[in-house]
Amino acid sequence: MSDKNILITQEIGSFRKPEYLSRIFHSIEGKPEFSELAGKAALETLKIFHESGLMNSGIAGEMFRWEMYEYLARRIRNIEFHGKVRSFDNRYYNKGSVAGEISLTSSPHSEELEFILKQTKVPLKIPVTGPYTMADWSFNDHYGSRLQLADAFADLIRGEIETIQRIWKKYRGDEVMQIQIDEPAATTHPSEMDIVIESVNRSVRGIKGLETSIHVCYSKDYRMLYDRLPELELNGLNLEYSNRDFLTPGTGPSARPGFNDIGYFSEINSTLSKPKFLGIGVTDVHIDTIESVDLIADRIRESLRYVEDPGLIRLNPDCGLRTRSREIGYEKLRNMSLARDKIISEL
Amino acid sequence: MRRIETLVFGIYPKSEKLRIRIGRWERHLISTSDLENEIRQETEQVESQWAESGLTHWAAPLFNWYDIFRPFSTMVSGIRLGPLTRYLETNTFYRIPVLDGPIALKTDPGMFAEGEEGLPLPLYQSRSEWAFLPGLMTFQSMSEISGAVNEEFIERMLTVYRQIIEKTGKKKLFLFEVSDPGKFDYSLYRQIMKPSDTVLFFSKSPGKDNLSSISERFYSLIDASGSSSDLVADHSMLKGIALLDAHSTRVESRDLILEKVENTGEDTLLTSNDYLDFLPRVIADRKVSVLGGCSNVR
Repeated sequence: MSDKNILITQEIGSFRKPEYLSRIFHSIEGKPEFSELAGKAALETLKIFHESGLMNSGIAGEMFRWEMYEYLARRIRNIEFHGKVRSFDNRYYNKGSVAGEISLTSSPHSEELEFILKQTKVPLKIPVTGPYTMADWSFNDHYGSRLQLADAFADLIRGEIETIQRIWKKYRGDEVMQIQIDEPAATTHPSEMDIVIESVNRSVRGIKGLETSIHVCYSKDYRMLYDRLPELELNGLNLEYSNRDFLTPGTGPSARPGFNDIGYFSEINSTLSKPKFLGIGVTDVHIDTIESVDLIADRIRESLRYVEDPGLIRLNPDCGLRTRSREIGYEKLRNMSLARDKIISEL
Repeated sequence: MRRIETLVFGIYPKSEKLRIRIGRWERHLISTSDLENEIRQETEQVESQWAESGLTHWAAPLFNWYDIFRPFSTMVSGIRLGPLTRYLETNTFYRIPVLDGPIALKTDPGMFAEGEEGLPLPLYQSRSEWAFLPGLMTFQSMSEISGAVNEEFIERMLTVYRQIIEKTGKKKLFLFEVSDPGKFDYSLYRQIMKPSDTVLFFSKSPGKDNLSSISERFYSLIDASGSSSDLVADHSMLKGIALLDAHSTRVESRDLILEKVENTGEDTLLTSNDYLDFLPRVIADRKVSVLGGCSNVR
């Protein structure tokens, strides 16, 4: 197996926007000036990713999107916004109300993807907010059940994936297009795992030429997701692991207890005829501490204790790096790449 | 004619203006006393709106509570603030109380005081006679227990609750129980308020055993799950019915609500199935207006 196919380093999605874009993002969105500035920021971000050694550049840090819910919801017919609701303390977000049959009013991802495809030939992975999270983060004032709502989002997302695949093919021909279904809400309602699996599968089912993954983070228990691996019709999972880990070096169950459930993943994954890859969060996006190369290398070694085939492991930050400055984001990605090189030399 | 009373309880969504002002207070751009005045003004404005709508009862809108446990973590010794934690199965988070020592009230809840990692007291900035308090089973099960928290928790918290009621001068008690009632004996609350002045709200149905040692009727029992209708009726002066959905922005029809109430054939207390802070303010206002319009006792 080529080195290029093992321990692939990848971004999860978002990267901090340069101030010249974030400061005026909302006031210029939809205007020609927006495309120009978002494009400029995307190019600069691609350069940072390249210099860090990152192997997969995601979608250049999501410079065309402000966040993951409202960005999509604002482009969906029959989602209404009545005002903000509390997330915690005095932090609020716009939670949409589904008031009728939903459909896209415009493609949320086409402009961003086409711009990036014109600029670069590097491997990309396109994050798309998942159907279950969209359903969970919306008020359901129309559909008869949570499953029906999630399925309606799945159909809409599936249409969007087909739309962007047509753009992809214009630039990349038959090269496989990587889609990451972002589902941070996936494990928040344990009794709804059936809905999660059904709607995620439905959003990509039958579309040829894709490599698909799901991103979940800050779950209390990934095991409920691992239990459903046999039914999950995706190629892999990209998860957060460092936020639950220690900052001290070492390997073994007591040094890295947060990684123990990767053994559970491996146990179930090894029973599958087509095992799935696991993208492991090896750097924490919620702290400014830049984990050392040695610490990240230990996290990779720990993962390899459970998943022996390095072709099934990918390396990523826990979540989007938008939470950190661009400088710190770069340092974290750089150390991730250096740690990967170190482990490759040991294999 | 059957009595239909109506009630709004718990944290109510703030106006955009107040949220912005709180944000400025958090960044030390306005003083605590200025903020306290603004919270008081918005409370008065909302309460007069509720009175006009015809509501029979309301507890303070709690604009100065970040979450339903926060004031207790800051004004009770033996309870400290833990990390942000998901509130049940919602997308709202609260700072989990960490129970780590002997519990006692350390701050006068009736007096103005600058909060510690919380909005300023007084606890209830309202002339409403109702005290809203989390049920003790909810408090215990939604807290993190650090070290030895023994059976004294219930006893000590009852003392804290009694002191809160005394110091704030509240005459009626609304207890909000969203966790499983387990084997809790609800007659214990007699220590702090007469059952006839107490409303018990349950998200999960109570059992007969929870209520067997109390012969008096509560002002109302509300089972938001709707699955213990007879038990609720047997122990209530007014049967509690949770007909407003606090997790949907679809505004209920007054006619449909009244039709459902008519079918019960009993005196009722109508309210919502959760506190309304999960909704945008404009929707909460519309729902309360509909609710108030259902009252025939004001």
